[in-house]
Amino acid sequence: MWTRKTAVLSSICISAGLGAMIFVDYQLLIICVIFTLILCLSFTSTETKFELTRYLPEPKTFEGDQVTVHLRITNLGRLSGLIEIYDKLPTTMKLVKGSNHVFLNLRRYESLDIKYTIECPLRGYYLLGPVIIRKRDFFNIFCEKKVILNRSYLTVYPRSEDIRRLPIESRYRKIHPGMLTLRQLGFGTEFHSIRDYIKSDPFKKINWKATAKLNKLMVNQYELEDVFDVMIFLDARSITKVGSTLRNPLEFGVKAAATLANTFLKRTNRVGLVTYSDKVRVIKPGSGETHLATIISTLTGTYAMGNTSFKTAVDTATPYLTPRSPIILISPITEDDTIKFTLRDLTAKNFHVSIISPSAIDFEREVDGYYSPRYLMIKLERDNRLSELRGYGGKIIDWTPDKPLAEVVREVR
Amino acid sequence: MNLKTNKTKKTEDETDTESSEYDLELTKYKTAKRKERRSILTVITLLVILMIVLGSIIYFSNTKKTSQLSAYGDRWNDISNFREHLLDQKDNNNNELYTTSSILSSPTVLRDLDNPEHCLYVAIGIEKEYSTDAVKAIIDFAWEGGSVIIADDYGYGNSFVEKAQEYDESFNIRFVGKQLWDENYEKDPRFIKINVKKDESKFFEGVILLNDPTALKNQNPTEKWPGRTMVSSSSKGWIDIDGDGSPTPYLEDEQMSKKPIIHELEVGDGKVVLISDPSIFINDMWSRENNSVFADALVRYLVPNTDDDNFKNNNTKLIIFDESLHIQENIISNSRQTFYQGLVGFTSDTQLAILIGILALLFLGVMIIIVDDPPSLRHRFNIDFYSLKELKNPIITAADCDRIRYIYLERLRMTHGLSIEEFKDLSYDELYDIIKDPDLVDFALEWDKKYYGEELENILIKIQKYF
Repeated sequence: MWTRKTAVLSSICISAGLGAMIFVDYQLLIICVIFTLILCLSFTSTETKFELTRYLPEPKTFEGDQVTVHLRITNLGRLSGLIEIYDKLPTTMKLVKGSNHVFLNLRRYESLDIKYTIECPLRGYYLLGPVIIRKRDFFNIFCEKKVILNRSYLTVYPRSEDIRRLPIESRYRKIHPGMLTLRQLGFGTEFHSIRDYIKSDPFKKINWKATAKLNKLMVNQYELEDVFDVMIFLDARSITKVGSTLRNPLEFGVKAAATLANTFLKRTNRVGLVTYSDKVRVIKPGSGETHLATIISTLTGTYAMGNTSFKTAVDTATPYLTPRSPIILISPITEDDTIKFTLRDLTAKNFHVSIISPSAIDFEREVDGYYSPRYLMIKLERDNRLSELRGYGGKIIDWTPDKPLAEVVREVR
Repeated sequence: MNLKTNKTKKTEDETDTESSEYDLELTKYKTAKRKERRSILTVITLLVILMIVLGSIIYFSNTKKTSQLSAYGDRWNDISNFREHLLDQKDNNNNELYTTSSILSSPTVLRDLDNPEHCLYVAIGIEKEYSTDAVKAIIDFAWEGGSVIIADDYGYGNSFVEKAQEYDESFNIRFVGKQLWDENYEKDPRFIKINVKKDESKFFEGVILLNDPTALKNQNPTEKWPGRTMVSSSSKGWIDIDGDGSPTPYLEDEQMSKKPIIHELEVGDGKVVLISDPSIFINDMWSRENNSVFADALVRYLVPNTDDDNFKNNNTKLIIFDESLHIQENIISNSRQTFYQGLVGFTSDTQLAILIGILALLFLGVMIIIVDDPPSLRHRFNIDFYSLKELKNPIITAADCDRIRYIYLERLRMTHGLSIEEFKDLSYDELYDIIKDPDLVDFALEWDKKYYGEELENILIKIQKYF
């Protein structure tokens, strides 16, 4: 590879050669010959041969975690001279400790270990590498670049939050009992209401505080706990990448979906996932650790693209929807006119629909940092749209970027 | 609903099939077009290659035919005897009198000679045209005291004259280029014998033998180019202008008279001798009559012994044979000659040299600008930002007025839990009771009124505060 020094020297060489011929000047000729010799020497002395191995102790990690990368380089050629090694990393990764860019000088068959730590703030499937080696000659004139396609895979899963109190409730009982509360009275652990004591009530259910207050025996009633199916719809259209790479409706939506799926599955419920971007991907409702891994993997590889409507997603997922089960839609509800009517249809079919709506314009405002008149106008329009959707029977949560996930989930109830 | 979906799906499938068939046809058409273009290109390329090969063959076969009059060749029509004879010449101290050299590139190298007054430029048989720069260099060389022999008969000798005329219009002498006949010949009429007289030539007396000579014309001296004819034909000489083999009375040149054969021009401090027959010097004619003596005498006349002791002690006289005007007989010699000619061409032409100098500097500048150092290999944590199309322009304009009005009324309706019909039926007073702000009431009801800039922004802020 040519450097600016190469260009200058070559040009001087040519100019001196021409000058020597034009002015019949031997001094210029000597300059030309010397520079040509230097160029030739430099050009022939940049051959390199290296072997590289990269080792990742944790090839699978979670958002925000740190990963240490080990890189071993061995010189298989001659004396290396000054070499520059650069292990290419995705731009969304932060270098926390050490460096992926080093200068070193290796003797024949000498090896060196390079270690550095990276932080992965964004979920996704990543490739580390290739390694770029640049060697310069003694005069620093030419620069040989070699790309070694030694790649390692790193998976960064979205991080889910712990939520103690589950917000979603079903109104209908399934055959197998489970841990989730239904909006029916029964033998659960979640408090529902109090009532007058009847003879068959066990004493442990008596609410002594209420009894003292009302001057008659009162007992606690609890909600019935049971298993139900939840279907999570995640909007991954290209509109959802509005904002920054790290903070946008899709990233927030992925986190919310991972958290909800994790929590529901931990309580032995069955969870399905539908993502719609350029096409619709459906994961049938299921339970267990393996199913959670499938959902998390799908969420990890979900990227904002395409413009499939919510209606298409529902139509595709209809065979997998358990009748009258809860549905959670995570969408900024922008640029999709089908949401309104689809929501109406779902409500009519007794599905319990909750919409978590990350506000796309607020994500953009977060980047811009000021309230423009147009922002106010669009914000009002969005508020209208949310109100209208509420009228169709959905539970709507407006999720602005400053609101934590736990609080949003609490609002669903 | 499902049926509808299926139907739509089917239609999409059909469309896909049609589209894929169309794509296939398009691909086939494109492939055929590409093949056609490729075959045309192949034919053109082959033709070009064929032309180059044929051109080279013709060029080099011609080259082989016409190679002659070389100072370094020893065939009958070369002039090596002349060169060797000069090399054998010794002075009184038995030192070599002459050194010979040759020009392979261009006569423009004569400019670089240090002592032109001790040099003789010899061009015998001109098989290529002189360039203007070369003629200028020869005349400059002569002007500074150098001597020049240009011997030609039917070749490109006149190109020297034409280019010299560009240098100075009064340079008139030229080679006739037609056969000179004379009654005084040896066995064959083409071998003409010329009696050279001392009082004319000033350096030689005797007989020389010519072979198929031509003559010179317009030899009369001018003010700027003084000179004299050294050797002429007999008074029975005539030039066969029309090529009929006999003198034609009404053509002036075909009338019998003394025709100039060798002419000397005085150019500055030097001399230019034009000879209308190069065969005086060829190996086959070298020992015929007094040709060799004449040639020797001519050289001695043009580069006489010098009294300059400094020059004598260190140098010999330099005889330069111009080989650049001969066509080379093989590829290597020809390529070498072309290379030298190109090299000397651009180094000796001042304007070209300046141009090349400027180009070299430009090249240097461009290289420095274009070629950059390899980019820095540094990891950069980089986050992209994406924006909503609608928010790219943060300002609201009068065009947004109706949209804001619609948003406001819709919000008002939903806030007060009214249906569209109920809201439409509201009277002005009822609406005023709800809104309680005259500006907002006006804004809500007066659809024809347009709001601009700051006014509209204020309305928007009021709406936001209202809710």
